[in-house]
Parts: sequence; structure tokens; C-alpha cells
Amino acid sequence: MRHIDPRRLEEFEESEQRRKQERAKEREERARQRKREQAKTSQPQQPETEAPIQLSLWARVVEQSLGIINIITFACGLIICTGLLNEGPLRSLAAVALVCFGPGSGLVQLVGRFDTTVKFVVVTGTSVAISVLVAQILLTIGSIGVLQAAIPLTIVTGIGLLLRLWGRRRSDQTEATEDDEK
Amino acid sequence: MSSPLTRTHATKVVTGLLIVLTLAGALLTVLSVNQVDPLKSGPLGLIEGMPFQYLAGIALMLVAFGIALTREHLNRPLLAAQIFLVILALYGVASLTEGVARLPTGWVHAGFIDHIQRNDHILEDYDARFVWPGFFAFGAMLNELAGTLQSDDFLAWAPLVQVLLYAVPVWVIARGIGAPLRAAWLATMLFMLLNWVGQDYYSPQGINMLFALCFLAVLIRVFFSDSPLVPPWLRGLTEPLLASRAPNLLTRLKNINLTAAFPDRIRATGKQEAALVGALVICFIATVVSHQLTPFFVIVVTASSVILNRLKLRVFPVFMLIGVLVWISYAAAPFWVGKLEALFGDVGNVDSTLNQNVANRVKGDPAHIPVIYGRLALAGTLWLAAVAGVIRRLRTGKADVLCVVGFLSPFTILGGQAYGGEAVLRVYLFALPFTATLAAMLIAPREDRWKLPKGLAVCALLVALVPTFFITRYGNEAFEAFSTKDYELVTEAMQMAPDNARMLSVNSQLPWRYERISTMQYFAITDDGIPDNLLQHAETIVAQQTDRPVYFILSRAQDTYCDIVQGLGKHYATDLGQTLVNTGQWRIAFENEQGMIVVPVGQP
Repeated sequence: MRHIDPRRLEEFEESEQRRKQERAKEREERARQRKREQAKTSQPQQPETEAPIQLSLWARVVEQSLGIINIITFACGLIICTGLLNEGPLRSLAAVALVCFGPGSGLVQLVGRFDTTVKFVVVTGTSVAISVLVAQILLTIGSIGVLQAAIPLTIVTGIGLLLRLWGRRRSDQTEATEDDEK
Repeated sequence: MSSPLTRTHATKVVTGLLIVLTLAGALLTVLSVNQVDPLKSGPLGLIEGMPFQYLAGIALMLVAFGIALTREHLNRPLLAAQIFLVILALYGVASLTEGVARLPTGWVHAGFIDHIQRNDHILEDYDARFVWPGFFAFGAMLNELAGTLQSDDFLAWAPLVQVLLYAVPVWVIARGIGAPLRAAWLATMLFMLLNWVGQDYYSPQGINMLFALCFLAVLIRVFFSDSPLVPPWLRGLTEPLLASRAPNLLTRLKNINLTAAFPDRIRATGKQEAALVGALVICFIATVVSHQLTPFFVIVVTASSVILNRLKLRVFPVFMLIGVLVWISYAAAPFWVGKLEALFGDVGNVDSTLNQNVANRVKGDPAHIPVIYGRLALAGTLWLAAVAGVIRRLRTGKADVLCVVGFLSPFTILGGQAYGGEAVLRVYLFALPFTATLAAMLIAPREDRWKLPKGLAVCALLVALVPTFFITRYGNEAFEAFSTKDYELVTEAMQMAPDNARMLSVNSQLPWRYERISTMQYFAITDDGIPDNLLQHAETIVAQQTDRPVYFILSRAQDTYCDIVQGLGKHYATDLGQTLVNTGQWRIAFENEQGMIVVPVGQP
């Protein structure tokens, strides 16, 4: 049996530990750098001083809430399509959520990282506009039924959700590949 | 000198106090909202039925907002929450306290929606609004999604939801056209307090205002251009001339900073720009198919900005114009063929348009006149403040070209059409995001921190606008709001009436026309002017079509309109109903505390 010097083993473990810590530090630094670059691209000028912690928190909340809106409206679309809710205030709310935030919250995933207020404007404006256009098309066809209306809106919202998941997975993969290459 | 730690602590304490003040104001409005009584609305409107505590609650929130703007570090979540709560209090009060949705026109739209939902097509040659059916189809689709055949809830809550959705693009526009951060927040709040025109009900114009705001917000914030205002060839011609004749003016013009008017610029990537152009196209097409006026406003603002070198999308206005012309030429042909004189008779006749829009509106009960003058005064004062804002910003060396374009563009409507006497209202509304921003920049032209006196002056201004808002926006509430009893009268009549019935009223102040618009006839007997003998006129109308059963609805809201606007005296409509019954030819088919339904004797 091959004898391993315990001192050398200890040294090896220590150096391995150090290497791991350095890699973690490098990864953190790269993430910080990426964040800085993204902030520069989206908002190069910030002449007015604002509380930096609050701003980033605010931005994160809005960013996350847009994703949540996407999921909620997709669920609303499914509920309406499958007829899980009968007539009532909840179903009316689900309908309003779907037409006001559904398609836009899906399509906005295409835009990628962006100024949050503009993103919100795009979500609301485009959602209602797409809903009006879907309604106009259905009117031209001559059939405004619940399924005809809910299906296209839910599909657009769902595509956004898929894009979001795919985009996240791709960015995770890219990060992992970068780490492996290093 | 205080240490950073002490300062942080002090900031936290002040923020905490502002949160408490805001919540106290909100709580006061919640506790007093059940005391708001729309039935007590008089010539000055809803404010006559409002408790002082409700107004005080809003004032508290506005004071907290004003003080929050004086802080060194602006607390965005707090400011956003304050605007949100104030909007709830200003725009939610009618939806919460009035029995059914206000405004007769909203109910007419519900009728259009009902027709599409039941028949899956529009009604040809019925109403010009059906030629732009996008919104009505949207309403029918929304009803289908909600699983209902009635638009009642959407009618009641549409103003609040729409105005909440307006708030974000208004902030983005204010920031994009050059407002310092504090001025942008103030402009958003001013927009809410000065939006008295009430076009945000369940209507094509309400939803199209959202499209216009979103369109302009993206356009201004992302596709701006800081190219020279004057093209090089024109500068080559004018500069030598100015250098010799007015060198001082030339130096001043050269010192004006055009690029500084974009403090919050965004540089989008190619992919992002492409996606956003797609969003703009979608918004604009939705506007084209759903409203006749909004596309022109958007085109004028976009084209003027391109002419002045302020936008990158130079060919966009051309495509927009083509889109509108295509819709008008094909889909909207039934609307204009054979009616060109009626449509374009007012072109260039600004005097006639102003008469229809302003002079003809100043009439009615002397106690109600302050409401009308209040609206005119508010519009005039705001426009003057906007002009002063432009001058003040120029003196600080900044030219807000886009803001001026947005302010002046809507006035082109006055040169086109009287728009049923509503052109000035639309001018005011379309210009409001820009005028509110300019007014805010009159107060705060620079980025610097406000001193406390300025903060207090802003608080005083905002608080003063609270009663003004309720008087100007809800000033017609005595006849534009309906109680459940008014609604009961109409629903009873609808239940009694067969499909070919004629529904009559003295004027249109009723929540009616919301169903069977293709088969029933709805007629307000004073719509074409007040006849000398209303009783005789009513009987003549009935005699015209004896094959249709008649249901004459007479109610409190009609009484109030007769009194305040038509000058016919108190209880005119209900007295007319009683007089008809006294003739022995008519009988009361149904009555409640708010009015009656009378039908000819012998009619089942």
C-alpha cells in the first residue's frame, strides 16, 4: 500500500482550499463587474443623488415583481381557459390581470435587462394594445368567445415565461462554462 | 458638525415620521369614506357631500409628499406609495360610494360592447364610434374572459385602474423630457390633481390615453436625439445674419444646452431598440383601430419632434400617417362618405370651435357657474404656468424642446374640428403630462435640493388643489352620478320592455342604452333642443310610431340636469311624469324614491 505523508496531505488540502476560495472570490468579482457594466449601459447618468441601497432594492423589487406578474397572468390565462373559475369578482380580476399585464409581461422578456420604469410602461401599454388587437382580429373573424380570446393572450404570456426560464438557464450555463474554462 | 452616523439616524427618523404621516392620512380617508354621500351633491358637485375628514386625509398625504421631496436622498418607494395612495383617494371615491357607475356615456359604451358580445359584429350605420371598434371589441372580450354579460364592474372601476396605469408613463415622460428628479415626482402628482376632464372612464379615449402615454414615454426616453436643433444648412444661413445684427442673441442661443434636457437618458442595445420599436408599432396600431383623435395627436408630437431633430426614428411619422390613412380609407369609409361638409366644415374656423367649446358651456344655474369658470381658470392658469416654466428653464440655460412640442401639439386640434364641443377638453388632457411637467419645473428648474420654505410652499399648493380637484372633476356629480334606485328604474323598464320598445327620457342623464341597442329605440326628448311645450312634444313623439310600446323613464338625475344645466326648474322631469299621468292617458308602471316609469294607458 502506498504511504501518504500526512503533512503533504495537509498541505495539499490547504492549497486546494485556498484555490477554491480564490475561485469564489474571482467569481464574485466578475459578478460585481458585470453588474457595474449593466448599470452603466442602462443608466449612464444619474445626476441626482438617491439612497443607493434603496435604489437597488427598489429596482430588484420591480424587476422581480415583473417576473411574478408574468407567472400570475399566465396562471390567470390558464384558469380562464380551463374554466376553473365561474363568474365572479375573482374571475373579473383574473381577466383584467390577463389583458393588462399578460402579453406585455411575456414580450418584455425579449427586451432583456432594462430600465425598470420603461419596462413597466412597455408591459402595461403593450399588453393592453395586444389585447385590443386580438379583440379586433376576433371581431373581424366574427367570433369573440372566451377560448378564442384567452388562448392567444395566454400563449403570448407563456412564451415570455419560457423565454425567461430559457434565458436564466442559458446565463447559468454560460457562467458555469466560464468558470470551467478558468 | 453632525457625524454621518447621526445623519443616517436622523434620516431614518424623518422617513419614519413621513411614513406615519402618510398612513395617518390614508387611514383618515378610509375611516371617513363611508360618510361621503353622492346624493347630497349639489351645484358644486360631490364636494357638497364630502366630509372634511376625507379632504384632510388627502391633504395629510400631500403634506408628507411635499416634505419627502425636500429630503437630500429621495426615497423612491415612499414617493411612489404616496402617489398611489393619493390616486386611490382621488379617483376611487366615486367607485366606492356611488351605487353604480357614473356618466351616461359610459353606459352607452356598455351598449356597444353588449351588441358585439351578443352578435360578434358591429352595428353598421349606427354610430360613428363603431367605425373605430377596437375598444368595444376589447370590452366584449374582457366580458367573455370575466364570464359576464354586463360591463357594470368594469364601468365603475375603469377610471381608477386607468389612472393608476397612467402614473408610470407620466413619470417616465416627465423625466425623459428633461425634468429634474424632484420636478418629475411633483409633475406626476400635479397630473393627478389637475386631471379634471374625466375622460378616463370606460371609453376609447380613456384607454387610448394610456397608449399615447406609453408610446410617448418609450419614444422620448429611448429614441431621443441630441442633434443640433437647427440643421447645418439653416445655421449657415442664419448665423452670419445674427452675428452682424444681434450678436448678443446669438451668444445666448449658443449657450442654451439642448442635450442637458435629458438627465435620465437610456442607451438601448440594438436588440432592445428593435423590441421597443415593435412595442411602439403595436401601441400605435391599437390606437388607430380604436380612436379617431388620439392617433393624430401622437403623429403631430412625433412629426414635430422629428422636424426639430429631437428623435432618431425619422421615418416613423410617415408610416404612422400611412397607417391612419389606410384605416380611414377602408375601414372608416362609412363614417365620412357623403358627410365631408359636416366633418371638415370647421377646418380653420378656430373661432367657431372655441365658441362651441367654451362660450356654449358657460350656462345654467348661477350656483353651478363657479364649476365651469373653475375649469377654465385652472386650464388658463396651468397653461400660463407652463409658459413661465419654459422661460424659467431657458434662463437656467436649458431648452426643453420636447416638452414645448408636447405642450403645443394638441392645440392643432382646435384648427381641425369642434369635436362635438369637446376639443378644448382633449387639448387640455393631451397637453397635461407636458404642462404639469413645465409647471413643476417652474417651481423646481434645477436638480438642487429644496429648502424647507420651498417644500412648504409646494405642500400649500398641493393642498389647495384638493378642493379644486373635487369641484372641477366631480362638479357635475349631481346629474352625472347615479344611485342604485336610478339603475333600478332602468332595469325595471328593460325587463318590462319587448325588443321593439321605445325608451323615452327628458334628457340623457340615465344609466341606460346598455343593451339591445339594435332593436330598441332610445330617445331623450330634449336632445335636439328644448321645445316650448314639452308635454305636447312628448305626446307627438309617441304618436309618430304607434307600433312600438313606449316606456317613459323620469328620474332624479334628469331633474337635476333640467334644473342646473337646462334651466327648466326643480323636479321638472318627475313633475312632467305626474302631469302625463294626470291627463288620464298615461299610467305609472313602476316608481321608487328616485323616479318613475310611465306608459300609455292600455299598454301592457
